[in-house]
Amino acid sequence: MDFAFTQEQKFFKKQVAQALQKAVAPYAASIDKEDLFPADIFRELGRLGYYGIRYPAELGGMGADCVTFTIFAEELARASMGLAAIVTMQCLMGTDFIYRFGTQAQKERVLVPAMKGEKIGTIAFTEPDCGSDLGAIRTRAVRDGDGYVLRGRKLWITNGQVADFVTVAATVNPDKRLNGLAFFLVEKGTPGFSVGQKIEKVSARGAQAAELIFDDCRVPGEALLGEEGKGAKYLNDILAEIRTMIAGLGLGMAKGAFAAGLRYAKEREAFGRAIGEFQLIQEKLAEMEMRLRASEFLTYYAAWLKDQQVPMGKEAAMAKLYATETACFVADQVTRIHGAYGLAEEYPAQRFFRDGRFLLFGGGTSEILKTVIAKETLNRGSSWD
Amino acid sequence: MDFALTEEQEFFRKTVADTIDRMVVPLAAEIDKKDEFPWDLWRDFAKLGYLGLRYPEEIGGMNADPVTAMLFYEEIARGSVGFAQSVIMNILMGTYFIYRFGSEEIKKRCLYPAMRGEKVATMCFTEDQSGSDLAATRTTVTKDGDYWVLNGTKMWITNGPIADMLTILATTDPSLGVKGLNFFLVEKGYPGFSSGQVLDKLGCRGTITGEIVLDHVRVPAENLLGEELNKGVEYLTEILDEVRVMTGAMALGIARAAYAEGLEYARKRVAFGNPIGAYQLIRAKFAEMGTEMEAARLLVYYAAWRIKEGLSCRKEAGMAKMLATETCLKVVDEVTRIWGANAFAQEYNPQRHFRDARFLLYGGGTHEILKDFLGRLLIGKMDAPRGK
Repeated sequence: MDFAFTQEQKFFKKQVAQALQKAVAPYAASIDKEDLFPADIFRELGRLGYYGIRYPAELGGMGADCVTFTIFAEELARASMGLAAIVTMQCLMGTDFIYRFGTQAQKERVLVPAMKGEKIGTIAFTEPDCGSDLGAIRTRAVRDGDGYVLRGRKLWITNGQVADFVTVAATVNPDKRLNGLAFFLVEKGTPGFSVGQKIEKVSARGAQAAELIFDDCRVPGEALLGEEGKGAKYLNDILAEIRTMIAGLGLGMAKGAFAAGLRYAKEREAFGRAIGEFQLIQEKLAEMEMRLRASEFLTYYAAWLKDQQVPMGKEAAMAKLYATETACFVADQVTRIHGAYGLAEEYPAQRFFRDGRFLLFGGGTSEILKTVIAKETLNRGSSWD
Repeated sequence: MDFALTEEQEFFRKTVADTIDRMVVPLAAEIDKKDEFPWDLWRDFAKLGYLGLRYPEEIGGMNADPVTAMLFYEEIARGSVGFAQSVIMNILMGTYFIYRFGSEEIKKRCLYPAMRGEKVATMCFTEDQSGSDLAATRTTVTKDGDYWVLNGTKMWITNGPIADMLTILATTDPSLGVKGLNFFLVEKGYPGFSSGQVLDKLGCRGTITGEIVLDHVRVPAENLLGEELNKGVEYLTEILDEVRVMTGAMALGIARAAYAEGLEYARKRVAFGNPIGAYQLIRAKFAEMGTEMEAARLLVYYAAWRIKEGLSCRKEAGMAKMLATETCLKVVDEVTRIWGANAFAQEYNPQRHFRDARFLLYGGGTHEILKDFLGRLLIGKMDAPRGK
């Protein structure tokens, strides 16, 4: 057993933490307040090469392992949840299907520029009546000569307002539910593709969520990423990684919130002493730090299993569930430590409190994850059987 | 034993609920969004006489008993917490000391107009470095002939920036701790009185909350609200229980509003071929929310009933505030989960309830303070160990 990061991972963590604390953290409050795409910061991180973190060096990427990618997610969320949502979309879901299934021409046109921050990518699953239940996707893809015609409406699409290309989940046959799913690359400017309303939301502001409309949007045959009907399988290939990444976001945000709570507990005085000297505040600090540690272990354990190429669907579900619930718990406790200042917009506590909620839904709600974990155990037993 | 409301209480509740549904509920989202005091609603609502809820009929009040008052607080918070907070401030904390100790002259000038909504009232405890710890109050008052002179800055004052009349907590001598505290009436327009920054806050928006600055404000002797000097804490104790139970009632109101949203969504939202209300994990949420809301409601009404009967209520009021508020926080949390990602869309209500509920954690004592206080009541007074 060895709980330490490798030398490379330690070095990366130090370097990325420094970069993000300098380039992002000072702007977290204004990113949240303005709820606009932070184009300057996005470009700057692109220049540093972070968007290619998961992809091989041949393509211009960093070829990082899952543990390192998780460190990156953690440090992003510690700095700004809005930016973290934008960047992780760019690094993982927004580009992965093109990396895996795109033609050379598509990769040159969208993937390589995206890795440098010159293009913005996103993925579109959610619809007005379909969230965790992907079998209910109603966006249709109908074969038409060499290509396809897409028709449907997507909601809650991160970066939707500004995206240059979108990986769209659609069905070639709604009756087949999950077995009818396929992914298509749709680029900005394709006739029939438009951006609808922006969704005003309380969490992860700066990562604008938008409605995307596909109104008889014709795409060429090569826009089909992979094969028809295999969409659910392809998604499943990266689902555990997505969940581990979100666990990393939860961990990072919780650490940011904890630091704010600790600072306040030391500074604020009541009844003649710092509130941190009172047992009921100490209890909160102890409870938070303990859960933070447990989240950290579960999260990096899942990432490490992934790097060992061991199946880790259940561990990723546990990491996501535990780390995001811990993030919400920590944010709750930190607003309590801040007293009424936990409500004041000039302090970050209320932002953490709102941002934590963002983590509960994408990648499977906590309710869905509980059923995933339990079913896995019912079918295959647990690791200590 | 009788758990039923009286016929009058039942009738009152129904009337208030209808009024709130008609006048307040449709404006709640907008009040939250704009974060401006809803003057039109305030004026229309004041005409119904509820601002005199607790005061005798002789002076134009409704003479409501404490249980009836709780029903009102619950219903109005169900409609809009931002609006409820301003209204309740006029009904209870903002006018109590004037009703209790004000001269007839002062009552005519301040209390009666406040009961008609012609004046906005507030109460000023909190300072930058003093919240639950009232002994740390640094706003001072000194005698100057027939006058008192107030100096200090107050924070987090509900209605502060728009208030016409303010009951100010000040100390004659900071070294006396809570034994130096007194209440004074300050009216808008007094030289030296001004309002400072307005707080931009997460929840309870629409209530204007801000800073109050008192720079050598001279007030006449009759503005000391109290029969004796330095008895402020004793006078505060007279309504502290009622304030705590009121906060519990507001928590019930928010919880009910959120719960209703959750129920509607669980019935209509379909996933995996069924309304999500068909799944056990969603049903379990309703089972727990329903049970805890029922328990909180009974505790709140029980505490109010004890006040009405003149029984000691120190413990029950603290418990009611804490349980109802924590239950409310749990309900608004669960409802945002039931709503999935739609819960953080600003076009729907669950995110507003989620933010608003936090407001109830602090006024009337944080839960850390209440736990310490209740623990001391239950265990008996012992010297607290110092940290380090």
